[in-house]
Amino acid sequence: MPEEKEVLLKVDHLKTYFPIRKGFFNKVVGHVKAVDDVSFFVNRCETLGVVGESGCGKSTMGRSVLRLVEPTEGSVVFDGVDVCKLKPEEMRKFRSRMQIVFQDPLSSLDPRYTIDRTLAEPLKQHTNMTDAEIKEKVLELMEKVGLPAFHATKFPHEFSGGQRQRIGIARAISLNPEFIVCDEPVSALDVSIQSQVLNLLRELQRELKLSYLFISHDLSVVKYISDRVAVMYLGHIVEMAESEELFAHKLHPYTQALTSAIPIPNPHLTKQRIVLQGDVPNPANPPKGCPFHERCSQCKAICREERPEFKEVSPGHYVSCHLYN
Amino acid sequence: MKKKKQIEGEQLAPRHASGWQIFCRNKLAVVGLCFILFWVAMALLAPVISPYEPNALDYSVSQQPPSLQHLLGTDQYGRDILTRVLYGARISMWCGVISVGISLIIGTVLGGIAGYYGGVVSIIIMRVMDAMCAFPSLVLAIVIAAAIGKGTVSAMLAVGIVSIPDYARLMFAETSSIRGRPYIEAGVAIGLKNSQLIFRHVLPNCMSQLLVKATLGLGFAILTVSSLSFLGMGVQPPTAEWGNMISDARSYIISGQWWMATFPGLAIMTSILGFNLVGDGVRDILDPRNRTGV
Repeated sequence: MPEEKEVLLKVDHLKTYFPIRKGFFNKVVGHVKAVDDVSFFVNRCETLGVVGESGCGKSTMGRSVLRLVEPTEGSVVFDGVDVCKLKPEEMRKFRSRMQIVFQDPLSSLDPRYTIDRTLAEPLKQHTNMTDAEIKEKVLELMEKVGLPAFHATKFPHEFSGGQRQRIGIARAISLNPEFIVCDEPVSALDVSIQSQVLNLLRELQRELKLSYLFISHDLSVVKYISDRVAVMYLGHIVEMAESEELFAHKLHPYTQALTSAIPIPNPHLTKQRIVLQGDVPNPANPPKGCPFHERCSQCKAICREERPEFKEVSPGHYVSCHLYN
Repeated sequence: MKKKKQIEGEQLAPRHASGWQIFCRNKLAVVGLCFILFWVAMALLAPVISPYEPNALDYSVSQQPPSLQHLLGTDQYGRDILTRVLYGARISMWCGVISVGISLIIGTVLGGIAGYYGGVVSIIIMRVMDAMCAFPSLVLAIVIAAAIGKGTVSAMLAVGIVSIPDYARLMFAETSSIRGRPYIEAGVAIGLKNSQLIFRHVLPNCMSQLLVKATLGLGFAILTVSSLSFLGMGVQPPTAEWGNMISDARSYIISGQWWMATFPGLAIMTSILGFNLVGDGVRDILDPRNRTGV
């Protein structure tokens, strides 16, 4: 009997369009539909993995949820609060509850700040701790992410990639958030370091009851860390299900093609690879109908005309494809 | 036991060189600093060093070559060149500081606003700056100095105004690039206000470029004020200023009184060289990557 899960974050029909400006007067000549009508939810203490190839809007989606990029339309409800409707001042305060870990750990740290200063900054901003308390808390945070205390007065460029990412994670958890967007947190790291950082994220999740929106283009990473997985293509979520369910029953043709690209570390096993034809369409000018129809092997007439609905086809398994209507 | 503990700590904690140590690694910068300190000292100590008045006329000793009485010789009115060069250092240092101050402050604010907020504001500000850049800076300085009226203050103002676009452009480029860096986004994510972002993260990261530019700008300002004075638009005679000393002396170069123009010229050269060399050293200090290791 699965326990009742509490929805922490609910995103409905989120759209983030970037205007394309041209000419001397910066006239808006069109929009890049980076995130185009996505809906999903994240339960408390759960990890929702988001996969998709580069440029499909995963990062923009993560940033839109935190309003680091202003969404064009739609609602983001976090623990009953519509984040998109918060005034700037309220939003600033609310940010302590939802944090982000960036892809490139070096450029996400101010090069002029020593690590203790970087970690003290959010604490100074949101709490009334004294300097001594902050210092203690900084050391505690560093210990939590596995950094010895003597690193505190170093500059970011003096660390290795894995250590920098630990600092990024320490900053994200410093304000005891409930939700963290992990924007490709391990893709800039060596494989051996990747697993360390992933395990750290898992431990912290258990310990601090965190929920993650875990964005990655690496399917094996997502499979490892996620409870549920959403597959994105061209600004849309095409399929979303429990991790095991998704990898066992891939419904959407895009998911099938994508998962067939996971390398198997066994040279004797050969696997049928589905190789997609063509390129990802331009998100400034997406195709009519299903966004995937131009590259889909099972494309039908209706796919060219109508955009498929995002529907629940079996409990907890959502897919957006005309094959399953 | 205690000693052992100390050594352990030393090994683990990072060793960061102080700004002065980094500066000293750059030998040329130290030479430059010596030039600047020399001229500052000369400017401050001018009355102590020289027994003469800078504007005292004495036709009995006019056009004397360097001698023990007049170490650098005298000009056509019998004024002591050494004295005038020393007093000229006062004017030049002030001109440098004031005009760089004007352009640094105004340019930084304008460029910063344009770079941080972007959009229409940046288009308006930067196009005005571009328009100013379209004129050769010396010509523009002459026009401004002529419009405000001749004199020391208007020369400083003119040079200050002419250099605003340089700082604005630099600041615009720096802020708009820093604006898009992830650590600024990280700042937004931890709930910093715009003002906090600007003063804690954007400005300090532009600082190294700005300070280097400003040190180099001091040399440029001294040179331009001297040029204006040379052309008769800046510091007015009889006030001693390197540019107008050269201007006065130019007809005597051919007739053999080389000392009249040479020494103020050397003064301009060494002070500008000093500022340029120090600019390099300042750049080294401000790069946190140079802090590692002693």
